[in-house]
Amino acid sequence: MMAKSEKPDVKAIWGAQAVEPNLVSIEQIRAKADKFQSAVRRRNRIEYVAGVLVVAGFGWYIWIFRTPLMRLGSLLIIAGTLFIMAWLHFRVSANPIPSQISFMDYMSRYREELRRQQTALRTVWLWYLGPLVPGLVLFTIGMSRLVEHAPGSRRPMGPFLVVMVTVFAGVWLFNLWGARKLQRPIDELSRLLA
Amino acid sequence: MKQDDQYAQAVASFGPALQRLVRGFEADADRRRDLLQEIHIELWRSLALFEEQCSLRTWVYRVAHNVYASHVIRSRRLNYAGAASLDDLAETPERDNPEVIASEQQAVAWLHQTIQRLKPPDAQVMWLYLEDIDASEIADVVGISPGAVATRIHRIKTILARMFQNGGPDDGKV
Repeated sequence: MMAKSEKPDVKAIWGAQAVEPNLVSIEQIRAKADKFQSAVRRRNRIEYVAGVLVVAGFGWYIWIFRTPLMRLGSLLIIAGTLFIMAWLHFRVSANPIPSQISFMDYMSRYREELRRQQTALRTVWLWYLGPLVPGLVLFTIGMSRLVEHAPGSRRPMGPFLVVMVTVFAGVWLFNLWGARKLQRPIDELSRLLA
Repeated sequence: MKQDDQYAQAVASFGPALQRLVRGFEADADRRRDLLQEIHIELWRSLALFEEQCSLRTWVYRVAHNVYASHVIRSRRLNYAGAASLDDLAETPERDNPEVIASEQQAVAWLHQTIQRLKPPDAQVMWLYLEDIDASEIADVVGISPGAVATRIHRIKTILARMFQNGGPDDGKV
């Protein structure tokens, strides 16, 4: 009990809180840090593997399809995919903020990082969807001409176009939603840093 | 290994303070456990870059506060606008009855609640003050001027003095 007549030493009371012994070994800490790093590496690898598959797939199309439109479309899709991979690598991937800087500097860097991510999400039509459009349009026109000339053709390109436009619109809206969700923490950090 | 030795030294010296930090800042027990683990992992990782640019204590406290901040932002719980400042607490009469703080346990619980109500970086300054860190080191950890730290410490002393029903605060005692 604290005697009312005495001045309580608040720092001493604070420092006297019971603490538990640290039962986590350095090996466990290192293992957890490695696990986190592996997860980051795996995520990056998935992006690159997806890109390589697209390049390989449309590279194969250049080889097997003989119509100039489909070959040019495939080539443009490959170029667009390479552009997206480079953009992801150099402009979009997360910049780790050093944790040993002062709290206010860390908050400022954190806000910049959130703003950068927000811009990337808002402009996804420019660097993610846009580069694929010319190639996909040419490839689709080429394919529709090929199909039109096929015996018994019933113009199956309509549903394909609808699916493609829906997917593109879905990706665009999903990223806009993600960008919007970042606004609140950015606003809170701006108030803190004001 | 230098990094491991430095981590072991940091935990031996400041492990209890890190536990007090997570108790002070995080009310939820599960989140507290995750946060403490996250701080330890980041501390170990960061020490690969430690070359005595500052004291080990400053380094440890910076890492801990920054990990806590990113933990709050990631879980979408940063509510700067809704939190109280030290000025608010110093100027507004405390609604709680000071008589309630009759034991050291209740005093600690009140300190935890107060830190959790405060805006960053006021909460950081209060926690560091309670850890008996001097104003210049608090300024280094938080990244505000020593003058701003001194003003905040004055407010903290006023709040503690009023809460614990005693007169003029002196260093550490209220």
